[in-house]
Amino acid sequence: MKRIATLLLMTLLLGGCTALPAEERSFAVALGVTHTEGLWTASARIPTYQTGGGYTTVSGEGASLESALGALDAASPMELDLGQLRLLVFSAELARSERFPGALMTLAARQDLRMGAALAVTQEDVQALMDALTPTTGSRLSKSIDVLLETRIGQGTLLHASLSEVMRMGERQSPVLMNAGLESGALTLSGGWPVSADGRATEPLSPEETQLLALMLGCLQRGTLSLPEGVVRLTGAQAESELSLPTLQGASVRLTLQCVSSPLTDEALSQAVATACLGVLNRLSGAGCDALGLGRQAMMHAGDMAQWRQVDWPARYRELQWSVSVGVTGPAR
Amino acid sequence: MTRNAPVRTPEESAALRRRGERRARAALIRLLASTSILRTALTRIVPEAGCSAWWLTLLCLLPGLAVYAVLSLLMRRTGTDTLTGLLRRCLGRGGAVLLSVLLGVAVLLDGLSALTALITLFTEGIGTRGTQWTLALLTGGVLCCCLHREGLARGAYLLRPVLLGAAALLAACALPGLHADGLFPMLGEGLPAVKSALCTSWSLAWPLLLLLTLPSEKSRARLQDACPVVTVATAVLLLLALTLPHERLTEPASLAARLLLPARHASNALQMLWQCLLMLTLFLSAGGAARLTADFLASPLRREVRWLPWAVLVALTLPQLLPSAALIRWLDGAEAWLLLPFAALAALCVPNAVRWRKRP
Repeated sequence: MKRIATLLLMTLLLGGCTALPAEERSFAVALGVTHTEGLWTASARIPTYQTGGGYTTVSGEGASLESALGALDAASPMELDLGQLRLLVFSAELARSERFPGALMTLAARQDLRMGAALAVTQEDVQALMDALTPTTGSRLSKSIDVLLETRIGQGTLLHASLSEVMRMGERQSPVLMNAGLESGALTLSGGWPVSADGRATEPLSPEETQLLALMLGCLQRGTLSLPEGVVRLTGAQAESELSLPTLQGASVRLTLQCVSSPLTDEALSQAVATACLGVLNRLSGAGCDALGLGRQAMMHAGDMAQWRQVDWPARYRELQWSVSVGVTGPAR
Repeated sequence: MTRNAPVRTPEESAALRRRGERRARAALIRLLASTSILRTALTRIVPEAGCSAWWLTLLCLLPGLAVYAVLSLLMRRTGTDTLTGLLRRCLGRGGAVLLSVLLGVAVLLDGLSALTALITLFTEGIGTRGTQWTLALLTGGVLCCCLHREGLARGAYLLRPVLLGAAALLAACALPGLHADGLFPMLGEGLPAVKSALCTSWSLAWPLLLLLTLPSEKSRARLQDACPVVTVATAVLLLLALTLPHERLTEPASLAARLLLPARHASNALQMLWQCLLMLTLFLSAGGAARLTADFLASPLRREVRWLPWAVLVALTLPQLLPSAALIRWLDGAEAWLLLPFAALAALCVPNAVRWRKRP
């Protein structure tokens, strides 16, 4: 009985050890990061918790990203929590600089940050973009962003790129980050920013190019495919990419498309898709972005990391000879 | 329709009770061994070996399994059913006392490591308010209430399905994100890293020897007793390698970050589940270590020493006054040699066990 009484008394002490209750925290929905003229700025979009809802932007500046995040914590009206983060937006200037990989590592090292947050790059002013973040569907910004992401990824104009996925790619695959923009004062997400082997973003891909890449990655299996020759309606698509081993000099991509409507004959469609895909692959290859993850196949033939480094995969990837074959089954014309 | 409970004689009831206590003890030891092996593998082998950690852990388990197998063979040859019995038969009463002291010290060190990992998880991993010392006092206080007789062992036995269910759920959720190339390059950072990991972790399997302190239900099932522990540790590390690439596994990180790594890229709910699983297993492991240490140290006296578990608990809690980094470094150094005294005892037992003949 004494022990039970002691245990019950001790549970009273546990309350002081727990973290803050949810209503005393600012759950950031989006985080913007820029680096201009030696100054890092971190901006967070947080709910105001006022009647009728609403969101506000808080910012912090510093000489390093850590200090900017510290200033952001200090500027927040309540303890800032990044555990519900949906979107991480970087300025194009920062994404193209050599500071970008370090910034991603710093953010990934924060234990309280939600690793499932989508990574986006914008050519717009980050502060303006953060201020423009309001729910376009429903009343919650987080849900609104989730819905927008799901829709665009389903359409293939956006590739899934969360902080977790990018970190888990390691040296074996290069991510294509999302392109964020503003249209009529509202957030738009379409297109992609290929990231090279050195971790820097390169020239962005258009939504159409991103769609072709999604097709080659097997992420786009049904829906509409926009080609210069017209729009194709897909009911099924299969993709397979293979690296020529052990020479590592060539790679082939095989696509099988099933379509219900197309402005072209099967042969012409096959030729058009192959040409368009080859253009995207050559762009990616030139940028040093292994978006298809062929490095994963190459890695499986290395005995240890020293051998892998000797292979110098980024250099070999840039010189790969691509071949694309497309099989089409669709409406006879 | 009514079902009557079978009528048992007092002897049958006592035998059933003993079997139940033995199973509960075995569950506690398996939990302690699994937690110890997994904790060491995550914090010492994975940072050095990366993607090769899963097979390197199996390799590091071999010396301990070899000692375990030798001692099991000697026990069968000498007709003893516990390690203490073997040592008494081969080296006399002094041998049995020495074994009890060695086991007590080793389990105490393991408990100290588990408690340090738990406190570090609180302070650095989860971000709980409170200092290292206040959280150690709080954990120690809660442990005080759990050290009653066989309470922890029964708790570990009853919680088995919950712990395994949570682990299975985490594994099932990790399955869609697995990449076969995570297992490559097979040698990780190369042979120097493999050798270094082997040198620091060759004692990894010493907690399995604790299973030999219990009489086995089947005389030829000693190796089977150790299988669940080895399987759990290897499965977790294999999943980790398939989930995260070598480059991420070998990045410098704190002890708490290393412990949280398996669920770092999972959803918030799964991260929380992993944290709870870690906290529960580390807590039960530290408590189990305190209970077992007290039992081992008291066994040569052949009487119950009521104050001993509390003294062990104080011995576990007081070191938390030291800076955690220094404590972890010191414990790592000490734990690397824990198998050595048991290997020496096994070597000492071999000649006597070989000469031993059953009296007609």
